[in-house]
Amino acid sequence: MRRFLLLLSALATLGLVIAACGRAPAARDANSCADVSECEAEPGELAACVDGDCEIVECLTSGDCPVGSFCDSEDSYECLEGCNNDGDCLAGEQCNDNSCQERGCQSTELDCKHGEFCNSDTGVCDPWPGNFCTPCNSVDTGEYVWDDQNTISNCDDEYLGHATCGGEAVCLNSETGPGDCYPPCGDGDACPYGFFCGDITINQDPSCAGGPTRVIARTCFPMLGCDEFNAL
Amino acid sequence: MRAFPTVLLLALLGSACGQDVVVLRPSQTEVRFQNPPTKVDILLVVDDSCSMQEEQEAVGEGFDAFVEFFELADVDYHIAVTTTDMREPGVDVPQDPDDPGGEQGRLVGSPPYITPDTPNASESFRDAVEVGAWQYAGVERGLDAALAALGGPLVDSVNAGFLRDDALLSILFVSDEEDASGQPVTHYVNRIRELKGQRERDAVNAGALVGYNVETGEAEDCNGGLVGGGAIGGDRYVRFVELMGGEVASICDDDFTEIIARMGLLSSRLQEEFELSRRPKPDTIQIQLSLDDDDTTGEDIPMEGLDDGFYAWEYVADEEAETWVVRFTDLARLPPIGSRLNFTYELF
Repeated sequence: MRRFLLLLSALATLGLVIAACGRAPAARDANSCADVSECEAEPGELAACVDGDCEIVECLTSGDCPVGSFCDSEDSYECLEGCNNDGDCLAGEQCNDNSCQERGCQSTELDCKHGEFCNSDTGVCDPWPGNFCTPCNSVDTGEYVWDDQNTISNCDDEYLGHATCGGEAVCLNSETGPGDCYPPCGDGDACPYGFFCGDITINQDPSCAGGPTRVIARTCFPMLGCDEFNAL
Repeated sequence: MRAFPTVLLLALLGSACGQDVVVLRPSQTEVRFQNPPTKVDILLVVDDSCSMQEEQEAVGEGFDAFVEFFELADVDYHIAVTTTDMREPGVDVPQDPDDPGGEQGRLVGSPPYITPDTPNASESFRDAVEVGAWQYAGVERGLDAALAALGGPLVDSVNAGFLRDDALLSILFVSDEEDASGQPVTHYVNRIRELKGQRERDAVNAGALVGYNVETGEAEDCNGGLVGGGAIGGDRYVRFVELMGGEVASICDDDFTEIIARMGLLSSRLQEEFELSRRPKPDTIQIQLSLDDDDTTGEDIPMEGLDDGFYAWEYVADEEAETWVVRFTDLARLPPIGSRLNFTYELF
């Protein structure tokens, strides 16, 4: 009887051990995982550790998803509409509350079109006020009159005139015909994108034989030239 | 003696099941592959204004360095060149009715793009990159030119065949002046990404060799700006590369050899860095490199590399960004194509 009890005890113990450990091999089979790094996929596929098993999934990171969506890499490994960060949105947008929204401008040169400036108060690229690179209707004859200080004196409505261009914009015409309206700029004043602030100079000598020059105005010159700018 | 079955049971359970009951993860193994793409299209947009002659020559001499990684990776490449000049003939230079205008996105050189099968490819590359220097080309519109070359009607006419639907795309700008294209930088990023579809966000990358301060990482005039024979800061090109992903270098650098090699590496997508998913204890990182599928264990790669110097690596941690990276230090001796890398390490 004692031998029988010992045998029974041994068998019961063995059974318990097998029962207790029986699940372990199943949990550690070839497909099981504890982390995504343990899962391999064929080229062109993505594998992730989902509920302890390696599975082929739609995405591992948001870089696997179309713009305007992000990867649910904590749970389903599916691309979900919306965003997790700015990188999930189009360039120029930012992610707010899982939604891509226009960021607004921060820089005239980087964020605006030719002829616009970035309004830092509103974050909107506004058209530069007034006319510029639009032809001014010059009635200039090409004959400038000089005063005692060697400054052009009859150009109020023509060369450097404001009447046609409006505001502080000036008309830069030439001896060969009508000119274009240019916005003014002072020291430190920004120009709209596509323009740079430069000096208008005249020769001190009215005969145009050369010699020293003098700055008579500063305006925003178009980088492309007005013809090319207007052709955009 | 009566307690024997209980003691035996606990001992057996403890010893037989200990590994499953106590979950310890002292170390981790990650598998990575060196798998670059099979096809890459590369567009160089080269400034052809008067100040660019020397830089064009320096870039033009770098073909071997540029394609080194494509050949290493056995990548099927298309390399093409256009200029930053978007002048319209007869419009922008009214004083010269004979001005033929700029390229406006047309590919230059003959053949219009270089492939691995192009005879005398190095010569063709040099001829294409040395686009010349033209006094009327002083308004550089590199972003407009790239978009015109890749996304406009030229794609179905003179530029046909260069851009492939199933290839990745790299755009490299070479200019000593700022971009003067008419739209916000983001416009070009989004339009060019659309060309490749928005699914694969990394299908397009970019590089720029422009006025840039490598130390600050910002666009900046260098070598006295244009007046001093140097360059104007290329803010818009730098911004484009930031948004698109890529690399910027200074056009004022004395030696372009390494820069061109890095641009080639960038375009090839051959990996020099492998990011680990968890933070390792640095001194426990071990790497095994397998060159083919039959080699399941791989060869141990010490940090200083093999005896011949191949595969030397370093560990680079960025705690703020929480990135843990193994970087192979010699670009000419990276893990080869198709190789499998096992990274084993103890967790920090």
